[in-house]
Amino acid sequence: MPFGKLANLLSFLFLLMSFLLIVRNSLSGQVRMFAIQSGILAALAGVVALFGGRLELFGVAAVFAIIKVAVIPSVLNRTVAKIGMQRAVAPYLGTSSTLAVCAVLVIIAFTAMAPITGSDPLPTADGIPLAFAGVLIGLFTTVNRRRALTQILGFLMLENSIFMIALLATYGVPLIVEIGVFLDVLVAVLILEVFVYRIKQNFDSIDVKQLGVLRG
Amino acid sequence: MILVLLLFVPAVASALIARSRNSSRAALIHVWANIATLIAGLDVVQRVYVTKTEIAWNLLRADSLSAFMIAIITFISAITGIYAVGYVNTEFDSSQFRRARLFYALFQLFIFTMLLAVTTDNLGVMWVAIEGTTLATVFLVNLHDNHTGLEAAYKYLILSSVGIALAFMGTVFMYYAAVAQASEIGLSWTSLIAVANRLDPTIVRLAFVFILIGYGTKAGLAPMHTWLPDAHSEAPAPISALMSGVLLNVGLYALIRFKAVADISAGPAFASAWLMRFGLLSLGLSAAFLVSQRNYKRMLAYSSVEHTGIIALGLGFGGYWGTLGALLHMVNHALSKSMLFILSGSILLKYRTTEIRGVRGLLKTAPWTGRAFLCGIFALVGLPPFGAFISEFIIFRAGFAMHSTAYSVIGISLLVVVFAGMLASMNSMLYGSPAEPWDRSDPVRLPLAPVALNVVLLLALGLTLPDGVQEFLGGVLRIVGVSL
Amino acid sequence: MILLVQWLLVVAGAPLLVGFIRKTKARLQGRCGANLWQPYRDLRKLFIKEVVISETTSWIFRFTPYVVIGAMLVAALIVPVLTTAGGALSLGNIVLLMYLFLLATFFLALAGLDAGSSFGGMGSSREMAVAALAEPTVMIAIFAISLRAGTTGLSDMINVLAGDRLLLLNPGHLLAFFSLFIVTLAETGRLPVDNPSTHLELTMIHEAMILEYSGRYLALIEWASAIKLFLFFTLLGNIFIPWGIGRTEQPAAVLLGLVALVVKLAALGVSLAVLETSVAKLRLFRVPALLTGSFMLALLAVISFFFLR
Repeated sequence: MPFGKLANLLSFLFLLMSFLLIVRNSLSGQVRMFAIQSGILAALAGVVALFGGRLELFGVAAVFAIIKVAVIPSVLNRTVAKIGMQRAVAPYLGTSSTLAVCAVLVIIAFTAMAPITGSDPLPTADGIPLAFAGVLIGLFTTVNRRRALTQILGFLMLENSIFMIALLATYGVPLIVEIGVFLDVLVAVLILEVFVYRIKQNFDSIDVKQLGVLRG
Repeated sequence: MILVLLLFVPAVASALIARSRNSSRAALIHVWANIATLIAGLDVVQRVYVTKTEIAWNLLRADSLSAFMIAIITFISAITGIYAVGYVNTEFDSSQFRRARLFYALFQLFIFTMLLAVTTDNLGVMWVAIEGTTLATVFLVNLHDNHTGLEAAYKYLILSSVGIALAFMGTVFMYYAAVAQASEIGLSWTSLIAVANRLDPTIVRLAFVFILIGYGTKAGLAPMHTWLPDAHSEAPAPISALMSGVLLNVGLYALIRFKAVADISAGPAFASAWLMRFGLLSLGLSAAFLVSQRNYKRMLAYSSVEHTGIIALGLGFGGYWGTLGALLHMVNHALSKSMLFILSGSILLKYRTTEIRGVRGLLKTAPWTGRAFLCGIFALVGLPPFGAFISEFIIFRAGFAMHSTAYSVIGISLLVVVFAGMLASMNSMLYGSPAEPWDRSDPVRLPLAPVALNVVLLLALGLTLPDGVQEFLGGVLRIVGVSL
Repeated sequence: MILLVQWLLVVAGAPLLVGFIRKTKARLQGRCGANLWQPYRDLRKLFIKEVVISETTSWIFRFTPYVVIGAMLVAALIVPVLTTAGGALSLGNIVLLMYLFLLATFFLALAGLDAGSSFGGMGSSREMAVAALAEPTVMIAIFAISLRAGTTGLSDMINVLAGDRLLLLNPGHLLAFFSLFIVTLAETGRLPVDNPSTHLELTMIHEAMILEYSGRYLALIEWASAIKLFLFFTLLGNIFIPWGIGRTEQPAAVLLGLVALVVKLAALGVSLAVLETSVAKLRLFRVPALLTGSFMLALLAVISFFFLR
């Protein structure tokens, strides 16, 4: 039946965007991948609202789209523009190794989520391991990449994936919690933008390895 | 209604301070807000003690555990707030008014988010509030705006946010387990406890692991503690006092709430095992880093990790005595750690260095500060007659009673290691002759006075346990699902 | 009978496909472009010309063009182009097809080495590097498709897949398509992996291997490349969008299959032209990253089969 398949399709596209983000080297390209990923997630929320009969999810999808497809990418793009040119900083692992690790993470996600997928009666349940894989890949992005902005994008992908888990497993969490989470993420991104700019001013690069003074 | 008032005061104070024009007005609002919050908090505690629960709206709720936390938060923030006025007046001159104003406003906002976290029944709102504490304190950590402050604040923000996001995932899984039982359950903790025995244990275990990792990051459990030494040592002293003394306890509060659910649904052995592992790891890692510290603020920060580990061990040992010891230790640690950080602020103002080597002869140059510092360190390492001795004793005795002998033995040995390290540092700071020229004065006098209350309470907790307090704690333990 | 018609269509129509792609590219780049039938004229010219062979080559050099064209002609026999019915098509196994292609690649690589020139050796080693990464991807992507269809026979596969109405919503299907599309680019030597119209040392892969060939040998090899491209596109079109292809040997079904084929080939050709016009050739050491990416897509396609309902 089309609901389950459509949800699976969008979940896979979501995961694909995670892969594309983690291998791209240009900051504005990464922000664009994130915006597309959030758009796919908003579409998924709309699909769940339509087929699952939760009309308030339309509102949630709209707010999500506004915040994560319009506002946050524009904030990030402004930061990228303010930072200006930087030296290319290589991540800790190369592209092929990164992709290999991502493949392993996807397999781990499928094995870890097996109990939930097995017991969930909802037709969207198959996408939960993909969302969890998105969580793991977001974590990996934060660890693997050395530029502060990419770490922030990894964190944002993590939040996206968790929102997707909530969406697929239980058709979303209560509205007030949802709104609170969005507000928190928005404020966090704004604060992070200030910080990235200050880091650039103080250290003249956004390579996180510079932030290694405090040890022991 | 009193709960709304409790939250209302710091929120409004924060807004008012943000709009104030001069430093003394901001300080005035700040102090009055702290006192009002303290009175409201004590009123809530008294009401909860007399009745059994208190509900304001559908979202706010204060049972014994919340009241316990409210007492800690409001008391410590009042003492710290009063000291903060002295600190800010000495540290910032009148040209840095904006920084002082930012400090006071964020201070009140911080208290508001912490109080919101412990007075809400909705686990999602609790999550939002705890993330809010991170956001409120980030700029406070970076108040001095130098390289190290920036580094500490950035690491703090990223690590905390990632950790708390994982906690949210755990909350979602818990919600999923609950929804499978009763579809309109919402994220309320009371309804979750009510259906806890019917939740699927596998899913609850999965959820609890994420929650432990997530809120454990906030509480300072190893190996997620790496942000803590940097953030707590770079922040200004009153903020470090609040963060170490109170915020870590709020993280532990969240863990206790979820542990209560997990114990019923997946059996107490699961949560206990994980808490004990993380607790012992925190003890071990902090002991290793603590003995070689050269910066006294970092030493205190690592000591926070150590004590969080002890509390986690207590919760892990479980049973009546383990949990009681953990709760008592939360109070003792809050009192002693906040006092020590406040005093470290005074030491910093006097000696202008955070190196242990750079501080000599504290007892001569700043007698009141030095004496209080001595009492604080004694309380911290668990010497009688201070309260920490009693709570640590209870915890480890519970460990032996629950047959977790290996954990207890290793824990006690690590405590000895920490004892030696901290006393050595303290000795080198307190005694000896200070560098010339020196003058005999305490940098902050009157606002430091409330610290005496800390000492008195620590002594009191070390010597007695009044019936009223024991009954109150019994109520808390019943909430958590533990009984004699 | 129908089989013969199909075969002739492939063999004769391949240069037309190449001409179509070139013309589209030219138009996109604002040029007039060569005539649509130009590849035929090139082939005729090459057949007439004299063959010049280096003295340092062995029998492999002269043998390879025949192996290559032979493999392609056999491959053209076993791919369902217009219809899935027909006796010899039951021999059409996708694994067999991939290994026929690989046979041709192998001999070409040997021939590149055979002349002893540095260009040839360079081209052969690059080609082998690309093939080493592309072949596992092909196998995994095929595995994903045949798991769904339950068979590795090409005709049966298409018949089974055509029965699923919601096929295009299946993520595994789409992932396998993109994975195989990237592999097509690698195997047939198109941008961004290899530029088919360049002769610069830094950018050649396929062209470098066949640099020594001339006359009718070159004509055979060029023709074989055209047939390879035609077959890859036919596979992509017929397996992933299996509607329109004929199921029986009725003339009506075959005609419908012809129309469907023309539409699919045109669509794929236009997308290839657009892709080649819009991307630059990848630096050589970044090609493995692209191919690893397509391997990941294929792996995800297999995972999706096992774990999704």
